[in-house]
Amino acid sequence: MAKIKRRSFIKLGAAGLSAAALSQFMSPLIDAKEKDNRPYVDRVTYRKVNGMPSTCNGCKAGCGIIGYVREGQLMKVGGNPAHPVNKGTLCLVGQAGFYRQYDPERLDKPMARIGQRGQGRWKEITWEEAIAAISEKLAKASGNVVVETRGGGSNEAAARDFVAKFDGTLVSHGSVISAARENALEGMFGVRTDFPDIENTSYILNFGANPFESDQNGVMSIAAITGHKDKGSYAKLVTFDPRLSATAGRSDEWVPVLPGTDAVVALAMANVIMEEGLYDNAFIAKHTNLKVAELKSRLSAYSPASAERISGVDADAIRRIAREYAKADKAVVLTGGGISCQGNGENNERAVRLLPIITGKINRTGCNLLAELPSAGPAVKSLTPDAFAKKLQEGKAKAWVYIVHSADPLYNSPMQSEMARALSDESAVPFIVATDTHVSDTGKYADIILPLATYLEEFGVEASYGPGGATVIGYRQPVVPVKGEAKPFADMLAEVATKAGRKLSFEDSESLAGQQAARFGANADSLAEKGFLHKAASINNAKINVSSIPGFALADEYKTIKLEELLLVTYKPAGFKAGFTENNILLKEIFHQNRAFINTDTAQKLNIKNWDKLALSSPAGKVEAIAVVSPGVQPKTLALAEGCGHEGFGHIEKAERFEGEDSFTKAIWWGNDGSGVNPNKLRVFNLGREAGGAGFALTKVTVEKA
Amino acid sequence: MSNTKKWGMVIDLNKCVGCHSCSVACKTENEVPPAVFRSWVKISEKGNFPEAKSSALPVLCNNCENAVCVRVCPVTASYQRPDGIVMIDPHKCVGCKYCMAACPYQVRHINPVRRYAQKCFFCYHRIDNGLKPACVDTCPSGARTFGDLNDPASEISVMLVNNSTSVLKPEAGTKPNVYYIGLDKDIANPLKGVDLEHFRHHDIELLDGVFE
Amino acid sequence: MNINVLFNVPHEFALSPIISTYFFLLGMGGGCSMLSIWATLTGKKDYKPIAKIGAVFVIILFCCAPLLLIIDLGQPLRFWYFVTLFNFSSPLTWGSIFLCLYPIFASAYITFMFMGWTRTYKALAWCLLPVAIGYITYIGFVVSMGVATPAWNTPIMPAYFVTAAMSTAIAWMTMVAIVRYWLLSWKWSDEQRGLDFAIIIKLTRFLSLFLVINLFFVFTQQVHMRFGSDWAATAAQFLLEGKMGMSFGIITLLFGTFLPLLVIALPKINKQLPILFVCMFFVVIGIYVMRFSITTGSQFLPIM
Ligand SMILES: Nc1nc2c(c(=O)[nH]1)N[C@H]1C(S)=C(S)[C@@H](COP(=O)(O)OP(=O)(O)OC[C@H]3O[C@@H](n4cnc5c(=O)[nH]c(N)nc54)[C@H](O)[C@@H]3O)O[C@H]1N2
Ligand SMILES: Nc1nc2c(c(=O)[nH]1)N[C@H]1C(S)=C(S)[C@@H](COP(=O)(O)OP(=O)(O)OC[C@H]3O[C@@H](n4cnc5c(=O)[nH]c(N)nc54)[C@H](O)[C@@H]3O)O[C@H]1N2
Ligand code: SF4
Ligand code: SF4
Ligand code: SF4
Ligand code: SF4
Ligand code: SF4
Ligand SMILES: [Mo]
Repeated sequence: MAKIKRRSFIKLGAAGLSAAALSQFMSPLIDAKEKDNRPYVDRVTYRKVNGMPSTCNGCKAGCGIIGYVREGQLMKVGGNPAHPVNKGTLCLVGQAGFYRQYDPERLDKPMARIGQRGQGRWKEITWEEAIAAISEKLAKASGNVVVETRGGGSNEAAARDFVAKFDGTLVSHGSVISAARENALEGMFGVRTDFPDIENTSYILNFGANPFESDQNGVMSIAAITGHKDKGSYAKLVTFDPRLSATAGRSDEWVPVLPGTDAVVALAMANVIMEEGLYDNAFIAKHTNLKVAELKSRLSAYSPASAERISGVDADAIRRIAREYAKADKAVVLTGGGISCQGNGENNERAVRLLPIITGKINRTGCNLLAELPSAGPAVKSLTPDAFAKKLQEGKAKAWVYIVHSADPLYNSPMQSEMARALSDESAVPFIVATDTHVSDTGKYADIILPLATYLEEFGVEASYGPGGATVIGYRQPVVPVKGEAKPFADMLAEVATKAGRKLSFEDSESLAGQQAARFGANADSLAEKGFLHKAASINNAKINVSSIPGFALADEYKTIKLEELLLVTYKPAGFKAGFTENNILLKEIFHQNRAFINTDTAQKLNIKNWDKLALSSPAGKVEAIAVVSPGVQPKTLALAEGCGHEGFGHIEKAERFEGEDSFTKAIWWGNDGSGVNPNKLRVFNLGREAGGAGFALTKVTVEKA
Repeated sequence: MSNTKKWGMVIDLNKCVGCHSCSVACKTENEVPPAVFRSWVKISEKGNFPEAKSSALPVLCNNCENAVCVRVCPVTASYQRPDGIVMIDPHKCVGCKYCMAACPYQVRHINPVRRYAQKCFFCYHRIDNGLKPACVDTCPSGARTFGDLNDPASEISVMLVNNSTSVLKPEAGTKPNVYYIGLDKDIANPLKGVDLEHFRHHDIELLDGVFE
Repeated sequence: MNINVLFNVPHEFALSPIISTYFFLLGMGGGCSMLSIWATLTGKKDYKPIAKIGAVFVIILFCCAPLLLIIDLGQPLRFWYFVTLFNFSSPLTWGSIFLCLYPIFASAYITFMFMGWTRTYKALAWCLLPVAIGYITYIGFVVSMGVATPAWNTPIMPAYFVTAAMSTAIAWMTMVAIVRYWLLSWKWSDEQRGLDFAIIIKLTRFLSLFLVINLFFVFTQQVHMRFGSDWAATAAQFLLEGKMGMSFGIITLLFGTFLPLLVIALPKINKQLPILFVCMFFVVIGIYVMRFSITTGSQFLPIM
């Protein structure tokens, strides 16, 4: 197996010297524009470098990337200018992604546990031993197999095939945020995802999405919003969020809402629209199964005044925004984790989605488009991560073989300490296999850890949205050879299955990618050449079927909130991307500490000052965090970012200097700031009655000075 | 008007979303080691609840026309190209840090690995070859525009004509070539919004001896 | 308007504590040579010991100081570039010229002084004078041309740094003279003892003059900055009342300037050698702290 020389800042630096000095005497060697649409210049040789197109895996946006390689070493990952999703741009995570490749603390050998679970003591084993051990357990598991994966793309397809063959259960993190939304959309529109045509709209109504930092469509959403200025058009952006997210802080209007109460605001808006006759009668009649009179009477219970009492949003603002939205010719609603990751997430989604339905802002340019994306594979038995975590903690998981792929349930699930207890219980979860690039928090409890390939070392095909809701088939291919003994996930699953006597429908990640490409109507060879296939949007024009009109009931928890109790809101900051940024020095040096945001007035009442150390406690546990006293949070809210306070991974994640091959490992300079806290140590379950994903609100946190 | 180019950048703060992609792109492009930044984004929030706003201020070397850093370099390691880019000759620089003391924008640093002064050179290796700087290429919001200030038809010149722009610390007399659209003077003020008790420098000795 | 900076990156100090120390030692060394030259040129025999003690410290301090400068370089092995590559708009280039000329003249001056060639070393003292002035002045220009912070970027810096250098030099020499008096005066004649004592007292009077000028400069700087831009005002406040208040405000100004001035002004105490000795010590420490507060300390205030 080819071994890649590790990228070293120092080695390249010596050569960089001469280039810098020579530069003033050198004339341009090439005119990049005419030669290539994805050129790059080697800083050292000053010559053009050819790149290989592939697809980023930082989030589901599926940006096109180009890997530039010199002598087997990846120099840089750049954006693919021809790619419809990102048009050459990348977010910081896409830029820094290649660092995962060369992380000095990356796994490169299979390991088996010695000592207790969670102790983190390992011995190296061979792949043969590992596969034999896993297949032996699999053969005896008789259906009690669980694969938990980050989800999306070919890897999810691989997991589905595997789960189907072993009669197991799939837990996909793709569904954390989208389960509630998918269920809502499926029920109302018959599609599992939709596409907001931000680019062509003139009004954006945003409930709990944060496209400037997180979001499902990544940089495409940023460009769509900021692009209005270049076109000379204007789209008003109104954001409902309990905290001043990057999006809220740049919106024309930030509406701080009490966490978990968006539905009542949306219903009040719908009520205003119906009452004031701003609805689209023709659309309702032609495209939906709704009756205007019934809508009016059902919605009349949600007056702006009552919504104000519950959500804290000014009744006049509700009326005004409702009118603005209804009167705008082109308007979209955005929904994000903020409302879908709630116990009542499905209901929230349905409440907000009512607005485009009654105003007929669906399947029109500049409105919400019911564009379908091909699914990753056939349906299998599955559970959402939080639902599975609950079963696990209750000892009802039925996971005799628990394979965790590119996911970190211990870090990400509610009741983190309970989760740790559940994972250390060998009678309940007898066999845990972590397949990852690092020893994650969960990995520390595994019985076997397998070193996996990164997104830069494997094949894959995934479908994502392009502008106008187009379907973009992105191709992922190895830009560099696999490091050490690592293997792509699909290869590993295929080997294990074969050994256990059941054949999967693919042999390795390449053949799987070929199959996926064919399924999506693309050709792997031409995908490899260009990196993507841009297909027209497939819009669902079927009749909209609203079986019942959503409602809202205030959860009991809200009725007894004490002064020192705040509602926990967690969110994904720009410097952190689930599954991608842990131990990444380029990102960790920017985002390594999550301070707890508290509203200025609330802080004054609780006598808390900026930078005070706080003791936060909830039924799930206790943590200490540093306060930020900020005008950017709703008064009854405590905002704490996700992505810090990991217990697994390496020194970089934990802000400790260490001796590595590269001298920069000694330059971890943020040791005094520490590595932050895991908000899931506070989060309680909030699964609600529906099958929805995770509930991020409804955790009441008691705040005290530490 | 001369035929030589004069490079400049315009950053539209009304578009910038403060995503730090430029900072990271600069690091990967130029192999800037940890702990030092050629380009970074200062993030602040301003206003009172509920009217607060977020703002971002990307900072990089202004490649000033009147570059104090060049003036004070004792060994002429800092020099200016005819196209305005302020360069540092790594063979000459003694690492005296005087240019760092002279630059009002704190955009220079001693490279902890190679021990000489570095900063943003407008990605000269890219622009000399007809590409745009890495941070401009990657910017998801399209906030950064780069081009020839001497060419009245260039995108950047047109932007400068059509927008009111400002520069950082004009009072320093450095004549920056990085312009900002929508620069809020309070956000640009380094002393506003900082709790001096918690204002942090690299620990004085932190970087010394860290890299051999 | 409420502003809250949520993210910014930390920076390294451009002028480190090593450089502050260098400025201090260089100032003291240069100041000593100025005193020595003064003693020589005024031609009074009584001052001969001063001229000699001064000379010895010139040598010692000169050896240490530039070493610090070199240690602080990112590329210490390239220190000689300072004398092969010149940029005349840079005060560091002027500095390197003085740093080169100074040891040549100073060592010649000292050699002839100890050899007793009166006329030669007097002539050399005249030559050394401008060099020594340049030598202690350039650091002030270095600081005042640092545009990064307003506490540096004031035109009074060169003058202030010179008087500060002179103050340390005099205080230091007075301390040495006091120690010499304590150690050796038992074997001297009464007349000699009286003379030496008078010199010590004279030195302290001389020092008080410089201390008053120092105060004037601090006053000027403070007034200038407080009524200048917001930033300058904050920097002024920072020096006197803020983070540097403890060092610059208390140690330099209170203990290092006002207290010695008071002691020198009070008729009874101002002849008590132990008290004077302590005061002189405060002056030296005070100036060191001043160098640190202004040179390095100013950077504790955000620049960007
Ligand atoms: N940087 C970054 N980007 C990512 C990811 C990442 O980890 N990091 N992960 C990707 C993944 S897996 C996903 S699922 C998506 C998710 O992307 P988003 O949908 O944007 O999800 P979140 O960041 O969890 O939440 C969005 C906003 O909801 C707000 N919020 C919280 N509670 C409420 C509420 O009760 N009401 C309202 N109105 N708002 C509320 C939060 O403050 C936050 O600003 O992002 C993807 N992109
Ligand atoms: N409090 C709180 N909790 C949350 C959320 C929140 O907003 N707040 N968000 C929720 C959401 S939306 C989601 S999607 C989940 C995300 O949760 P997860 O999907 O569990 O994501 P990560 O915790 O980032 O763990 C991803 C793992 O993948 C590994 N990995 C990264 N790259 C590769 C690769 O190329 N190959 C392989 N094999 N492994 C790789 C990493 O090392 C890491 O161990 O978290 C949920 N939990
Ligand atoms: S938006 Fe998502 S896919 Fe695009 S570069 Fe960022 S992490 Fe990668
Ligand atoms: S990349 Fe662009 S949008 Fe992001 S912080 Fe930099 S300038 Fe702003
Ligand atoms: S910004 Fe600073 S380093 Fe850059 S040219 Fe101007 S003065 Fe020099
Ligand atoms: S650090 Fe280098 S570039 Fe800067 S002034 Fe000194 S020699 Fe010149
Ligand atoms: S122009 Fe190049 S060197 Fe300058 S900040 Fe941008 S990426 Fe960095
Ligand atoms: Mo997610």
